[in-house]
Amino acid sequence: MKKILLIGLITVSVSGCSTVKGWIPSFWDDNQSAKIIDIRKAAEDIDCKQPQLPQVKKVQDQIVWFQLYSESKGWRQQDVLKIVSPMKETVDDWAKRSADKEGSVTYCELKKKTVQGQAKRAAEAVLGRF
Amino acid sequence: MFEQLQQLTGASDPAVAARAEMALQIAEAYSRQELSESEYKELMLDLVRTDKLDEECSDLEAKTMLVTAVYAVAQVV
Repeated sequence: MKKILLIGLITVSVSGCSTVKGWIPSFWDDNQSAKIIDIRKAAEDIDCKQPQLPQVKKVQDQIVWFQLYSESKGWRQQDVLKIVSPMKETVDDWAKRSADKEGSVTYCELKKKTVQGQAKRAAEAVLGRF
Repeated sequence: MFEQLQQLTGASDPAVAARAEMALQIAEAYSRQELSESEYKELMLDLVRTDKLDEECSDLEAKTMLVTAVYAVAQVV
């Protein structure tokens, strides 16, 4: 046991704290868990026969809330921030297009499918934490 | 391109199969002129973003698994 602790201590000393920081994941958080499901629900609720912008804004707002909360919580939240970042880019492009000139129904349906998939995968990872 | 994507939809990796299926749907919609060129490009870019998201999720899941294993070992020792 002492040997294992010694090896661990030496590893930490040699590799430095920054490496160790990179290996420690964020842990379970009730608020993040609830919000990632809010994002999923907002994506599921999108109706492509209705105006797209207000619906996309709803998803966008939920993602921004998640980002701000996670940023405020501290450095260990980098992993979940990296997960929501590509989803934010996907939704930002959709909101920008809808604000200029609404996209086609096919575009909306494919975009919805993409965001639904991204939100589902992100929720699995966020809710699967220790 | 359609044939290659069609083949990939049967890939053993479910993530690859799902991504190929989506790319196929986008390409078909574009060929039917149901999407503009900029919509098509944006949707394809989203597939790259989805890959990045998937990678980050797998990374977090691996780290979580490691922590769970270390915790379990600590309980035994």
